[in-house]
Amino acid sequence: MNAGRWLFYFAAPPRLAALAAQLVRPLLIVAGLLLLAGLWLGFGVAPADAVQGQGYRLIYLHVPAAWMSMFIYALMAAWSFVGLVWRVRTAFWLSHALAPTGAVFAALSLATGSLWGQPMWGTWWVWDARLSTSLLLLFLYLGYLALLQAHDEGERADRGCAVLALLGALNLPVIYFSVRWWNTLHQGATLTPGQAQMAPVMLAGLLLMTAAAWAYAAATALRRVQLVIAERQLALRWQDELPEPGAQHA
Amino acid sequence: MPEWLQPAWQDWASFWQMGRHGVFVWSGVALVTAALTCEWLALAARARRLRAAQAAAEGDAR
Repeated sequence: MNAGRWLFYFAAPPRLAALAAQLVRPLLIVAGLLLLAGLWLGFGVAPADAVQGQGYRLIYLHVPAAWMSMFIYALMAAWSFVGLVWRVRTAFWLSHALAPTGAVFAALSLATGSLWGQPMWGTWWVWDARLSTSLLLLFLYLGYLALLQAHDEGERADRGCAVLALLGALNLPVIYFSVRWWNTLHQGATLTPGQAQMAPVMLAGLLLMTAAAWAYAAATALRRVQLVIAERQLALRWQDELPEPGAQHA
Repeated sequence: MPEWLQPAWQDWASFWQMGRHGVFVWSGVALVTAALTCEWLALAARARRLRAAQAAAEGDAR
């Protein structure tokens, strides 16, 4: 089955709910195992950083959270695009299911970044390009969630949120390239494709923690999409049972 | 012993202290743990509310 057919096969809500039900537990187990391995390497085995000492170990929390906050928003934008172009309801729902987890990672990215910044830079916060655009990402998540709640999660909310997700995606390259485009207090990219600047054990710990965050996010979003599907089906059932306008006077 | 099995720490005290950065590192760990736990508690609460609504809908249908 090619990707397109696979995508539309699982566009049917019962099929997506069944797939999610099958995947949540294995993904949580994988996340737990990867987390244990990543914590062992990152907090137990990796040596201290030559410049930042032991405080650099926040990298194993901060960098996966920051990467996931951007990756999840990119996924939301992709699902929103699919939903708007091909009118696939479940694509909107997948985007809705990803949003709270993305918001959590965006908030954690900022909080752990602050905890890292205080001992290294001597300040909890500066309005530099990387930090400001990351804060904007958190506000985009919160705006998306507020819009979803404001419309009582109906079809209008689906379209409105999708447009916001697509517009907000313009912020992602700005976050990524902010440390190159502007002179910022934030350090440069942790990893540059093709040239690892970290000790192998540090890199392995970081990649394991990132993989754990990915598996956690996938499990959480799939669990949430199960609930979204069930809630929408219940809402449809309530609507069907409502009397037609004027029916009580007939 | 392979490198990935050798702890970098001499003792537990230095592990907790993290070279004077312990309060920042462990606060970060606590924050992440609390946030991810809360997210799943919120999901469990949402599932409970859904089950209650489904049960109410079943009751109305009868």
